[in-house]
Amino acid sequence: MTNEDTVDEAVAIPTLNNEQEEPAVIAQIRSFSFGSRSVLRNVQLTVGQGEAVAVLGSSGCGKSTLVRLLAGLLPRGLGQHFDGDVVLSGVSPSIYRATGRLAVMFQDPTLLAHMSVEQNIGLPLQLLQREFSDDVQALLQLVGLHDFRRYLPRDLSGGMRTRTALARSFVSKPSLLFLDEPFAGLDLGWRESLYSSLQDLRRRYGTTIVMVTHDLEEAVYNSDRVLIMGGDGTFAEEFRVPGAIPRDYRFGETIARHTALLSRLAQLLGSPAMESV
Amino acid sequence: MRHDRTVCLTYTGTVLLVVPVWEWASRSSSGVRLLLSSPISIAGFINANAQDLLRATWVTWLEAFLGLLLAVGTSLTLMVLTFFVPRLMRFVMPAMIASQVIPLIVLAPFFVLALGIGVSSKVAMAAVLCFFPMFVGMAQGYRLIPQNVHDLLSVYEARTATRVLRAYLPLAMPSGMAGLKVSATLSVIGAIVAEFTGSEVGLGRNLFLSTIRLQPDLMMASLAGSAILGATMFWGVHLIEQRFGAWYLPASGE
Repeated sequence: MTNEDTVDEAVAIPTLNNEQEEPAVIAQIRSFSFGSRSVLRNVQLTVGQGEAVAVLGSSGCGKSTLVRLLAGLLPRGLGQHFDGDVVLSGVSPSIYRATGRLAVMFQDPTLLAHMSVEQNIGLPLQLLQREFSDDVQALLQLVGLHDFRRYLPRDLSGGMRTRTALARSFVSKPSLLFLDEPFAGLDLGWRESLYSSLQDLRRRYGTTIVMVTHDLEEAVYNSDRVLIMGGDGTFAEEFRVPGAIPRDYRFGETIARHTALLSRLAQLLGSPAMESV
Repeated sequence: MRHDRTVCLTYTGTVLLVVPVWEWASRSSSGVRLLLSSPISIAGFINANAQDLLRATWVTWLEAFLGLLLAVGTSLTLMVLTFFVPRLMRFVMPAMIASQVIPLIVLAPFFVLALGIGVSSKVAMAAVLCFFPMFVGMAQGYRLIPQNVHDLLSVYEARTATRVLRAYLPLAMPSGMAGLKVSATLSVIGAIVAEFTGSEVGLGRNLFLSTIRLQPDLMMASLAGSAILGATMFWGVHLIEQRFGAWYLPASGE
């Protein structure tokens, strides 16, 4: 159930040894705690190459922590206890990061305030000591910020900042992208256009995506599989979303076809959001 | 520019108001004359001793400026070192705070004894005095960098040198600059205090002599000189900030 329809468009990316045989992500998190507070436990996640997985959970259930653990950004410092293993395409997160093929889009756009839109998008190339390429211009066009390329982050709207962050997370042509509630707090129009940007970019680079979100429709629209996270920091259930990506958001058959799934998800999350559907 | 004009008018108006009152007061009271001299008398004194006063101002400026440069250089170096060896900060900060709780001015005689009555003892005093605000400002600016930025840099396994140049130093600049402005004015105070203790020429020496010789003209002229110095240093930093800090300063009205 990976996206066969997009493989032919994927660009060739230098590969690690045996990369194609290894799943993109294998995570076995037995427990993770801040001091005495347990955040995650018994979370197991395997994501195939090119797959898009959404982790759905209400706020405060450890979603952001999960993303940081997968990216190897935690544990950090005293008081954090991690028992488990994370393997990305057969290697540890830090080794995988060093190959320059991981990107993370945080909940906050995390733009550097002293850099223009263009410089922010190109930042990963600088950090990875790669050549500044035409990709920056192409990405500026794609997210519709070409006219704003010289603007500073403080002069942008929230949606523009998020689009900048999205373009930045694709500039290094990542094989693996983690998204932490990237579109939270944006209005529907922006979200829809960012979803299609995300799918465009995904098709172009054949990227594996792990997205954590509390938004049902976002999860169903953007992924092949949806995992539900319970309030106690474990995975409760898993659903496979039928139909090829990209799905027509809201106006197509998607909603009708997925109504049962959506209301089941809503029920699990205890969310009133889907009652109107 | 409209604001600038209002400010100019206000200041000119104040001066036009205060100067005649001052002149009148010093003519009618010998106490005022001995303490504050009078505008005409000060103007005459400055006119008669312009060369000496300029020389004193220049020497004090040089001491303050070199002291500031030394302090900026040292604190930048130390700061960059702590980026490479984060644990260093734990050792540096307590020492820094301890050095500030003793009144640094008492070190002035020590520097004069150790380095002589020339320029170098004043440079040292100025540097010691203005090191702290600059360093603390930068350290604070670095601490305020959000964890997300650190995480972003880690995602791409950025090398420390790259992190420092692309992110840490620029992002620490706003509070570093605030510290530098305090440092810039303190450097003038440092130089003057060291000149009090022993020197051959300088505004501090003038001020010292003016008290023991009861020369209010000399005192007032030197005070004016030191005020101009402090303001010059401050404006210098301000101009640098305008040039490089456009990304965090409020956009100008026009």
